[in-house]
Amino acid sequence: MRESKLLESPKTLAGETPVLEVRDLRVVFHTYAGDVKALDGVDLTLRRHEILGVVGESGCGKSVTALAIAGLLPENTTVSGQILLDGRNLSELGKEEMRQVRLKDVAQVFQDPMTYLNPVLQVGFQIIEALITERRIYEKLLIDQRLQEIDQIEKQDTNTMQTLEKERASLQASLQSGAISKGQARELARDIAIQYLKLVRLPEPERVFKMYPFELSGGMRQRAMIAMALVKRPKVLLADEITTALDVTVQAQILALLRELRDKIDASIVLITHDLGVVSEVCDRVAVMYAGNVVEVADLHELFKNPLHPYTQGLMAAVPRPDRSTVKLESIKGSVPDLIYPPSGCRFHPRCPKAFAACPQRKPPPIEVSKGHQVECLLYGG
Amino acid sequence: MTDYLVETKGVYKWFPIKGGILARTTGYVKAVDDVSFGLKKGETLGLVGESGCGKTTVARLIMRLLDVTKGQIFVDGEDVTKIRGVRLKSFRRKLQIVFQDPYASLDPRQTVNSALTEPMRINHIVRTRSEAHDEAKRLIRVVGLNPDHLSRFPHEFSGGQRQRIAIARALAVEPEIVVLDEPTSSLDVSVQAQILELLKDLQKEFDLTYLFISHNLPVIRYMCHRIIVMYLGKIAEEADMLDIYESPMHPYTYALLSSAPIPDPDKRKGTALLQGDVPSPINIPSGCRFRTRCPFTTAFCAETEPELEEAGLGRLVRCHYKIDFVSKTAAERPRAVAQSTQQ
Repeated sequence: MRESKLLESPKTLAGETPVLEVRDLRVVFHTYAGDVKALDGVDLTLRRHEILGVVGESGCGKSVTALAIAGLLPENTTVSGQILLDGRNLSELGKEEMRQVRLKDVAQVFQDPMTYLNPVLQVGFQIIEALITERRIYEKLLIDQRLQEIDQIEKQDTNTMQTLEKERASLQASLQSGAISKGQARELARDIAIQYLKLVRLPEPERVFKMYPFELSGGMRQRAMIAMALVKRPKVLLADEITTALDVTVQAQILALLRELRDKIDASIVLITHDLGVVSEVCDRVAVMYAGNVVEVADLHELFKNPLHPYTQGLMAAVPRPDRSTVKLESIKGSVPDLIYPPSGCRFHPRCPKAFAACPQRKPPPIEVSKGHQVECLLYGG
Repeated sequence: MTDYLVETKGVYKWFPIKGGILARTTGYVKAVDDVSFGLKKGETLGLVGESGCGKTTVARLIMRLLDVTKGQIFVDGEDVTKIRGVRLKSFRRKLQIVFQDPYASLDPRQTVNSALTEPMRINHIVRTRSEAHDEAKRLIRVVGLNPDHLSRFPHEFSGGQRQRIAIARALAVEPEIVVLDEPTSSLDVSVQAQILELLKDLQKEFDLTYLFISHNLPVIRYMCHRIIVMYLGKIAEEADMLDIYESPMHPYTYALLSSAPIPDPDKRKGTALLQGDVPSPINIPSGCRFRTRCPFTTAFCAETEPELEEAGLGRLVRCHYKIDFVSKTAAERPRAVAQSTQQ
């Protein structure tokens, strides 16, 4: 069963291992009201260079999954299962090691940028803050970037060669001696930040660098947040409802940007959203979550053409469409269950139109129905 | 005489901006800027636009939750912008509102029963306490909850259930018109479908007229008969639902529709049509207010502000060019038409 999840999509290279693998992730929040069983054995695979959509309603555990990957869950939680980033198990790491992972490998962008930006610091400083204060971690990144630039300038213009040669030598020296000064780091980081502000298509990046968050519009703030996440060259970018607070026209811009970035940067993206429209706009593969389980995973086109899980089917029938008239919306009866007392067996059974006798008794195992299309539902066996 | 149930004529709402020690007015936020439209009995009129376009302000003006700066609003043929006292009270019975956030719009210390019966008693719809209670029981069934729920408090309910209670409360005074201000924006999609279905059923059952405000284009398409697209306080386009969605004639309508993501991977959009953000309603661009973001703008647009003009049967468009953006090819769209108009 495990092996089946590693099957390659046409886009990924054959034989390549996934960048992130979540295996049997369970999260329980201990609250005064009782234990909230938020995640009930979540399996997810993020392939290199892909955008994986995680879709579901509020309370289904999509954000908790992201927080668990980033190691940002609060103290009152019990986490079990494995989170493998390039084969390294993150769930075994201590606090300091996890902090290093967040600094270097896993970056996050959230729904409301105003909550995550410091209102009294310039946007530019916030983008490079990590690069300067943790300059030892980013040393190679900072210097490499500049060396590449020097190479480029030399190709175009041979006159400035001498001064650049000097700079190159000093950079290489500091790379070897293993310590660059704070001032040096600051200068290098600034160049990188402005490059990334350009990359996320912010107009006048030099000016934006010096602006404060309140001077930016919602869309610009979200672009700045994306720049801040990418500047560290993470392996994985967790994007949690990043367009939910934006107007449709701005949302379209940010989604177009995400697609563009995917081709330019080296990060793999987990895009969490409740909106099936957003999913079909940018994702390569989709995982549908319900009440702490991944109920269905498939390639984007496959999922929309051939949704198998009754919940996925219900979700698709419940969304009105902008491009055609719907006579009657099919709603899913009832509402999301209370996860302190989750339903037995399949957690969807009380709302499921196709539930039968076995559903309340057994938790459905993941079944691979066709290549890369996996569903957790007893209708398909198990 | 028109057969409109609600009609606005040249309605303005400018919010003054005070500055300095003397609190002098230094400018205005032109939230609603010369808006005229009519709402027929039994229809659902959709107000759609991005945040800050004035759609909620229009609703508040009609509800008399705000006073107009200039203009008239007729409900049942009576100008309601200046009414007071008893007449205002009887006007309020005709119009009710359901707000976006059911967590904020219900009193946390009031039971459902009390929330439903209070408006009935105030408006003398019921004579006795038991009659009120019976009526509340009927209402709670109408919105799909059960009478056991009456003795509970709002915190005991989910978002969808709360929105049902808010709808029941609006119906308690037997209104003719219900303003729905983003009624499903804070709900999950599966619950949204339930609420939309309920609203449609109620409209048929009680012969209600809806003013439906939303930024969600699919929801507007599903719910509305007629649609008004607003941009920076003005109406950009007004037409029947299918005309708006199938053959938009204002470039903003076209852009809005083309940015709404479709839950179908075969219909990906590629690039975003509109760049930048909505300008501030304090400094509105000269000429056509949409020209700073319009992909088809010409020099003429900066000079002259277009009027809201008729463009075919029952549709109004505020654009110099009034092109059908869907059926015309890309080459036909921008410059060619622009030049012919400028001559």
